[in-house]
Amino acid sequence: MSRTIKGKQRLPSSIALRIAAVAVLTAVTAVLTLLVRIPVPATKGYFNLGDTVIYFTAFTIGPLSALLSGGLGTALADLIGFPTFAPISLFVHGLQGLVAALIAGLFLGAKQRRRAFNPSWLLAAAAGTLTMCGGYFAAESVMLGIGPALVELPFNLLQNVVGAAAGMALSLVVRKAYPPVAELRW
Amino acid sequence: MDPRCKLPLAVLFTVLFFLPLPLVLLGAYLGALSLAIWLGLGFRELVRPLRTIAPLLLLVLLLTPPFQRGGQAYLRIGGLTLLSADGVREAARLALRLTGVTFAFFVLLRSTAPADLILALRAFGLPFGAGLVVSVALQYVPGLKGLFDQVQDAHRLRRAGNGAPPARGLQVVRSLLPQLTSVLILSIRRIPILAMALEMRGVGRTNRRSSMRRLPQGRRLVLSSLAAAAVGLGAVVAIFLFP
Repeated sequence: MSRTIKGKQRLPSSIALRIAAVAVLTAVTAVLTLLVRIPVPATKGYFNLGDTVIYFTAFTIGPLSALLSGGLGTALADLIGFPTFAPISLFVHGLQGLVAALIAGLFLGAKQRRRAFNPSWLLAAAAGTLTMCGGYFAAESVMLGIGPALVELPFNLLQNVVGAAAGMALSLVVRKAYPPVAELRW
Repeated sequence: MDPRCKLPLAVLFTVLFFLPLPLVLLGAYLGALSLAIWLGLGFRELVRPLRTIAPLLLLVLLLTPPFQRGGQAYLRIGGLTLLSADGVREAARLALRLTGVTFAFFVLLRSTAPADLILALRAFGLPFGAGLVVSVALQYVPGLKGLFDQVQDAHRLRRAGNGAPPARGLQVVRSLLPQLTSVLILSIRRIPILAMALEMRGVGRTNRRSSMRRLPQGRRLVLSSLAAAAVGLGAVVAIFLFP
């Protein structure tokens, strides 16, 4: 039932491990979406780091983890602040993580995926940004109207670009500092 | 009311606010939801969600009319209609929709414990694994918040006295990267331990395992179902009374 990572750490069965991985990453996504708010003085608005964790999960762990933890984590955070947007976040951020992770792992083999920087990440980040911004624009057009949706679009775009860059940097640093993370791919 | 009855009601009201119904009827639905919050949770709780969505409501009311220019023009500048009858109607519809959906979810979430909500979702077919993920994540949120605060304090102490000016704007993201790295590694190291704890309780095994508790059955559920059915039926019948 259990297996060993490099003779040091025993990992339990795959189902328990997957549930644990998704649950912890969901909680991290919710905490960083809800608590870490970076003020933007020009607009008096805030950035959150939810997208950073979604891209980190997509580039480091894998597509299904990114789909589930990205969607559930941001939806949980929204339930506390803006419950109206929780179903939209569940769907859009989940899809964003899935698309980014699938494209990130599309062009390279399993060994190459663990290398330092993967050039397909750039394409994955662009696709993830397009998915998230497009999804939110469509949903907000129905919910709030085309005018407010257009106003929100540049902020979503900027938050995504910053999140993707930070997610790539974190993926590189965490994999270097804590190699067993590579064993959690799902 | 039982969460298994509140959940379909919240979904029903959400759907109703997206239907092309008369503004009077949408206003009546919003009034009913406001009354439910006022009577059930108090007046202060009625103001809370409004305060949260106020900036969005303002955006909707200001930016919708210029995009809907049909009907009688009320305000025109340089040949461009900024405010018209259709614009006002559409802005009111969108404002009612945003407020109504927010109230519907707010009353559900404020009057239901998260664990009961997960159990209600389980009753409607949410898989055991998904329910477990959400409940474990909810348990982990306070712990991870504490962990993030600890890491922040530790990094602040390391920086103390080096005279560097505080980061501003997007530089904040860069300055947060070392803290995020620590938080992520510490969080990921918890995964195998949590997985072992789950396995100890039988998750992932074929033999008998512990399960989630069940919501109460019996008279309370029957009464809740009858009340929810009456409210839902009333809301749907009202559509035919306001053609």
